Amino acid sequence: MSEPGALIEVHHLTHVYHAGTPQEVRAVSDVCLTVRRAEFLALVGGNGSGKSTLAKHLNALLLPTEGRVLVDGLDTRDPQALWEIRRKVGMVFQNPDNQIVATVVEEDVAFGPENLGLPPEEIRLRVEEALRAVGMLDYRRREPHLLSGGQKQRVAIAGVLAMRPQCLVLDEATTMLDPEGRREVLQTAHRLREQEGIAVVHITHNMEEAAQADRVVVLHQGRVALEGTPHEVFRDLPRLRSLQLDLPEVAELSWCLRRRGVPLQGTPLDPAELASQLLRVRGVVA
Amino acid sequence: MELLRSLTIGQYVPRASPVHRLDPRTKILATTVLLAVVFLARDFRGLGVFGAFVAVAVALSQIPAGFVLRGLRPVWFLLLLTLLLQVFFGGSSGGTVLWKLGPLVATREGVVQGLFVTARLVLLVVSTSLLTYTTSPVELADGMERLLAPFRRVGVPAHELAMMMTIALRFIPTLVEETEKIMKAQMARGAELDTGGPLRRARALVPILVPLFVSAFRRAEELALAMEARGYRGGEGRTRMKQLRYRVQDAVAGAVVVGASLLVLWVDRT
Amino acid sequence: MVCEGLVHVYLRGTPFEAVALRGVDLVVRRGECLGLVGPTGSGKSTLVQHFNGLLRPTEGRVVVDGVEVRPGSPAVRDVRRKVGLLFQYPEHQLFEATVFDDVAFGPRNLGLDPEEVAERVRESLQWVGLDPDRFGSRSPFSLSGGEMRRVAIAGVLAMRPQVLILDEPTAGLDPAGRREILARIRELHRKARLTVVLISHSMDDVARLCQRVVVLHQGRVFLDAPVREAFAQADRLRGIGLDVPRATDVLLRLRAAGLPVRCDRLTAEEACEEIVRVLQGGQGWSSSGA
Repeated sequence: MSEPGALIEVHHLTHVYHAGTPQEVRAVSDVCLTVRRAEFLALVGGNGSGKSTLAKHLNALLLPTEGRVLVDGLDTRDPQALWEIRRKVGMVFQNPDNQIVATVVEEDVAFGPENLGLPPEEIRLRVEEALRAVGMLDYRRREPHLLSGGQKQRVAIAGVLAMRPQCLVLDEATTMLDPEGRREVLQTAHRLREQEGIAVVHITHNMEEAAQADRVVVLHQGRVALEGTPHEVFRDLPRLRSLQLDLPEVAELSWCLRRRGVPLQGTPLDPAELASQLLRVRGVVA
Repeated sequence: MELLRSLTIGQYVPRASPVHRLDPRTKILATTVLLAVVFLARDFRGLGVFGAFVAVAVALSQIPAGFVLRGLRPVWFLLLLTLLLQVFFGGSSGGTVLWKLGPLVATREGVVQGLFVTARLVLLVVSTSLLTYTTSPVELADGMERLLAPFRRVGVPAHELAMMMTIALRFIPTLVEETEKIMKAQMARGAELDTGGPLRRARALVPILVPLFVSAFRRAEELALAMEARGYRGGEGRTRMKQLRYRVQDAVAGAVVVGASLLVLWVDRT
Repeated sequence: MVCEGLVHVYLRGTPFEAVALRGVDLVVRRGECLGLVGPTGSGKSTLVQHFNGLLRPTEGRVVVDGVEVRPGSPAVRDVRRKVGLLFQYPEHQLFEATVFDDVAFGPRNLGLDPEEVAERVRESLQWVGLDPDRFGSRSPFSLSGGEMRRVAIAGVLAMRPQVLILDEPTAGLDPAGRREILARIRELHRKARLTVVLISHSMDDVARLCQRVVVLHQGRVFLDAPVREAFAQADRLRGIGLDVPRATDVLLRLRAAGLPVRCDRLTAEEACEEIVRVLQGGQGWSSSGA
């Protein structure tokens, strides 16, 4: 049943809100998904696709109505495993303000380890380590309300890192940020994946960001509609449009060109890739 | 409106004085003791010694005297009222009459009593202000939590109270910013927030308060989720990164406060 | 005609003094769609809050429709009617018990009579694509995020402004929501002939909607040009931390490698046409209808 290299396994997950009432909503239906160790997975979908609901199952903030979610072998339904699961899978949320608890940055990062009951010296060590990993060590004694959105999210990531997780879930963590903030957060996430081997699940509806992932899973109305590498997934523009999504602008351009007969290989997703392919087509050595 | 943002909460004035560096628990306990003493003093001699002690403490804390006096501004009306009440009604029946104003009779005893009570009030305000000037809100919350911790057995939710206070403090600047934003948005739609009588102004607050409350509830929900995601399950089993430690200075300060209190009471009773 | 000459604007007086605008001269012409871009902290929000009298210039003047704008003066009421300002995440300002009442807040503040108010509310809701009969009596808080945002926009439209300033109207929306809002803004600009000022971080959005772009940087006007000219200056824009529309980026790279493509194409469709044109003009590729 278990795939080697699988960190989180979602088996036939269904989640129904307000079951049995007139407001009953089936947010997720029969979703099967695997998050592999140290992979960068993008989870995309429009509003109502169920991506946020699915995200909250990864760290047992929600429990399945049907199906099972296993985190490193632990079942999310097991009350004994709850806190270990939340240590292994850390989550950063959409609103940068509404997850910072303390009045000073380093104290907020300490919140997680404090909950784990670690000795003060160990906590201090981890806080420093975590802040350094996200590039915010110089801000350790700052008051959080003075930080920019991107900085706040990095502090939130540090708060998760201090618990030494195996997976970092970014639940639309870049949606409310400006381009610079988004860059900061994504660079941090990619670096953590490369250097620390932490898996990253990036939930977003920004296609440009999704294009940088190892794998993309597209949700639509609570089901998995598409799955694959970014190149595979962004191949079909009309299909994505029907799923309420956009293509990254470059992919749209590539698609348009292919339709006009330009012989491109696959669907280039970023400007550099597309430009070099076009130059090759033209016969110019790029 | 920008002034809203520059409000410092609790009037904490960061300095590197010996008073600032004391453990917050020492300061809280000291203030409690001093408050008790100020009410036990019965005449000007005791109060005088007390006043001298407070003046020294203020000097040590490097808080400018003018600042402290300005802190009395919010209560000037109360002080005046107290004084007048004592002057006209304080003296018990009889006593030397100083002058009459219709049914109001000012007696010398009343004046003396009035000045005494007013002076006591002033010292009361200054003593407690000293606590908040020299102790940051976070330290206060920590101090209170540690002091109340032993009472958890009898049901005092020390941890929860401290957590509430910290979160409230953390969000005050954020909420202030949001209020500003909401005010501007409603003003852009023609709301007028600074005209009209009190009833009109009160009604004009609804478009500000409702969104603020809605947003506050939403924040609370999201924050609770984020806290749970980081393993929060109440105060049981939690450790703290910051440790409060009593040091020599605290013992010295404690001794000084006790000593001064005894001196006040002794001067008072002899 | 929203006209603004010689605006030197500073916000000062406290220990937290920060110069937000350092001498901005800007003219917004009637009927145009202007894109206002710049890195965070460049002063965009500060600037637009002068247009409807929410902020007072420390130096310089703001003139709207021939009348100088000064907060506190009676003229301000009129300006707030003419210049509608929609803040970021406008759904956070909703407060009334029904959608109808919330949209009516603006017109009621203008002192209009109930029939006029009701008409404006209906019209505004229709403009944003919400059926007044279905949505009018619902609580704004029972709506989805996108719907709430549209109610907020209707609330500003109900004042029948001549100018509409939008601060990041697509912030936080999913692709479908973004497309929807941008389409409506385009309609308001074209059909209702509103003057539009669009603050955005998305160069692609600005490229699609606006004719002119003003770039702010550290409180000054860095660039003020028609949209195609502005985005052709990729190096200058990148130098201050901004980017160009991605389609333009591809064209610039091709040009740098020697291909004679025009770089003033801003959208995927335009870039596609241009690339095809240039490729067909030379050899190395024949139209095989792949």
